[in-house]
Amino acid sequence: MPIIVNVDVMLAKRKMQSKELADKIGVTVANLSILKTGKAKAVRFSTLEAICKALDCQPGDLLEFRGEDEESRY
Amino acid sequence: MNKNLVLKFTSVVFKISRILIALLFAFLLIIGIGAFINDDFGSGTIIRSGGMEFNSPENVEEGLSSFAKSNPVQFVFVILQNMAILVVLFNFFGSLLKIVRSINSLKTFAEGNIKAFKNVSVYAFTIFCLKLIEILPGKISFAIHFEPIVVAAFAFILAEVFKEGHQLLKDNELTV
Repeated sequence: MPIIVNVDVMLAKRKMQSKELADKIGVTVANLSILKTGKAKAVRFSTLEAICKALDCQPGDLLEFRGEDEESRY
Repeated sequence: MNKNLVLKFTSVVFKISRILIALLFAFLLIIGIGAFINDDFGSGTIIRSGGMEFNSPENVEEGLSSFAKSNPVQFVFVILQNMAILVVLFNFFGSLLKIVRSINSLKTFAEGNIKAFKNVSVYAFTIFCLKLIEILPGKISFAIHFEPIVVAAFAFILAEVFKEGHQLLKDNELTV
């Protein structure tokens, strides 16, 4: 999928663990893992808002669009 | 009556139907063999495409044995036709039972239900095909029964609806 979720990058920047974030935003660790691994098909605005609040960041810091050409480079 | 009670009742009805079908199958097998062996066998029974009738012997124009002796090919065909219909019906109710059980265990849009509905559709169509040729003692005719076709179409539509439901469920599970 061309949308890349950078939650793990932001977690590393904030030195926060997945479990702590999951508790703060009110989702299960399994669901957060789905989001981190890029398996998620959709993200609710409410979840995105909670993640942004917990990690003190913007939605753009969490989501990134990579075209097929760019993706093949990685 | 709540949902679970209706489902349990339906499940029981399907189970009883399957038992009755199995008994009828065994009965047909005995009749098929018995009519050739014993001349007086099943004197009060008439068999034809689509089922059997039980009458008092004086009302029966042509009993089982005489049908078997006069038209053995037709008789065997009718027995096999009825047996095939029973086997298909047995599987038909089996698929329906599977669907009811999965709904009961809150797995309504499971992938297995899509397959089960498709099977129901195929079974109904098979029954339609099996009932195309109708044999009465000494008479062969062609008949179109619309009920199985309607059931087949309905089951096929439901399979597509459940396919859509399964896709939505999968999407919902992957929504964070």
